[in-house]
Amino acid sequence: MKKLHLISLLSAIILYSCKSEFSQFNEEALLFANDMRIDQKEYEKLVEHFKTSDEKGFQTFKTLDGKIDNAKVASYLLKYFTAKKLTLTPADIWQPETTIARGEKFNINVFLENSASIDGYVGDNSSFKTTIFKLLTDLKNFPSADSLNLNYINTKPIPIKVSASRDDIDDFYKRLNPADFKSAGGMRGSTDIEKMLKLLLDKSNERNLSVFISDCVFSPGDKDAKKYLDGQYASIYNDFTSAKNANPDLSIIVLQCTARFEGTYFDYFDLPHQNINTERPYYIWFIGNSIQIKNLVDYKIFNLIKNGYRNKMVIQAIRTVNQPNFKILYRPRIGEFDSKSLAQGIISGATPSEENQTKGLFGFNIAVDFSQSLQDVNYFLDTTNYELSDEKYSLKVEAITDNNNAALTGFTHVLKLQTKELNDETIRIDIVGKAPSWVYASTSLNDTRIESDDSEKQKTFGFKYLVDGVCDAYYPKSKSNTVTSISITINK
Amino acid sequence: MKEFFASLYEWFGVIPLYSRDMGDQLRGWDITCTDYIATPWYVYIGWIMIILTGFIYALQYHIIDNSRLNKKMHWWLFALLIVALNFLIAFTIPFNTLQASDYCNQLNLSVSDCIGFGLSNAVWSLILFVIISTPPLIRRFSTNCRLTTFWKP
Repeated sequence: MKKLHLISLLSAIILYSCKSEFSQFNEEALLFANDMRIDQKEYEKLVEHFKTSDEKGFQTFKTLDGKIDNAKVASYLLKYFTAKKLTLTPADIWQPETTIARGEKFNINVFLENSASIDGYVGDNSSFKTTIFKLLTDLKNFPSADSLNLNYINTKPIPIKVSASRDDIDDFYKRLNPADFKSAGGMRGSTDIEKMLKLLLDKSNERNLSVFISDCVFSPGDKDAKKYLDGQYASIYNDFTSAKNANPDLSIIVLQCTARFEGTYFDYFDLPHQNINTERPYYIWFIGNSIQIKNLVDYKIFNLIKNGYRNKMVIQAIRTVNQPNFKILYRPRIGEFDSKSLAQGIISGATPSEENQTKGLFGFNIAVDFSQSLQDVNYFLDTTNYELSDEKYSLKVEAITDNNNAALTGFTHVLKLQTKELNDETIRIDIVGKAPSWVYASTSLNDTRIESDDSEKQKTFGFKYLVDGVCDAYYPKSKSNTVTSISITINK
Repeated sequence: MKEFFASLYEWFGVIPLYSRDMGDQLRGWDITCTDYIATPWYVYIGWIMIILTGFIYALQYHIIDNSRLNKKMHWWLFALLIVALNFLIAFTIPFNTLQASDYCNQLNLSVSDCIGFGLSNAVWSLILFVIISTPPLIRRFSTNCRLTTFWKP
């Protein structure tokens, strides 16, 4: 009988201990998250599991040199809590302080174009003025800002306030009107964007970030418009190539915003069109080095812009090809494959579909996290910005909107790949640097019918020549210009 | 070890009694659908099956070891107990996971998968019981059951 008791006890212990250490970690995390937060003590207790166990589950949260990657731990916990229907945010999980190179403080030099073409934006009903006022206030509060210097610009910069105080910003806001623009001086009759950009480039360095606010409408005047735009393109290309060579770290963010335009619009012949009253695009350029730009992004300065922005473009020199965090999704899939090496980016045992509707097709989805990129999220939705190493594959991209799906938590986009010819291969998905498609959709080549053509009201004359000049300097057509790359191995 | 038990339970891919998704769940595909980092149930349930079968074998042949329980009918009664318990364990664990939705939401799991895995475990436990009770090597240490097998006496 004693023997029976002993064996029963041993069996009970064995059965009870049938829980992996990783499962115990999960359960403990869940218990800690009952109060909807993981505090420092709880986080440190959870991390203790990593030190005592060599289970595979814990290994995935370590760096190559065996150190705990806290970002990965927090990311996993968020996914796990989502799966368990607990809505914790990254802020709810305590994280050890990390030292990030923030760089030194720098001056922010704002240049507002005061050409006559801007007059229509500064009417009484325009949101332009309040957007600029709010932006300047946010820049003033920006922790990395040393001093905020306010300027008008047309043929040359016109300093208005050096090291502007809050009162100066208020005063600048009140002076946003055609009369004050006029009294500030300069050649207001025409707009030479290339010259303005060159001035800004000359003034942008590790101590100075430039912010340029303009409608970016070229004014060829009586010149041949095509020749003029080609000339502007070439000059801008030259300016940015030189600037990039001098400062390889130079980065640019362009926001397309809209505001009510009330007044006279000057077309590309410089002919006035009176009483235009419509929403019109204008642009805010941020020109600085990558740390300055990253600081702005981290401060979420673009999200603070009043009335938001319609489009964003990021132009940066390609130094290394980024490899974003991604995972091959278990489902949906077309055909079948083995999931054993999915976490390593390997699809094995791939076979095409046998189902009637998809017979012969093979497809899989990849969830990718592009949130670390400075580029606009919409850039990653445009399949023309992707290049596949195997053209037999087709690609569709969707943004992830379901925040409650644990399988997709921590990812921003889903890439859907499909082919009719399944082969053993490593397929490379490259995201290339180029001008985004909204630039071309926003470009006008003839703005003389702005009163009658509603689509013209939303466009900017010659805008693509301006952006192409910048982009071609950064992303020469002779190079592959791969900014981000993902590789997936497929074995039959 | 995980792949050893997986191969057994999936009958070497020849006649799987449950879906591929259930196989991945039992391998330890985690709730965030990322990797095989959750509990590797194949290993645990495999060991439970071996220990439980071994224990019940020991119960009949060496612990109870009673002359009134040494007929082939008794062997089959103990076999029934082994099969039932192993089916129950292998069915209950994934069934509870299924009921609690405590698995990757991209897996398509059903009750029939749980039944299939339960059956698979039950059949392997029966095979194991046959294997350990058929050769006289171990049962010769039994006083009253050393001649008991599934076909005699």
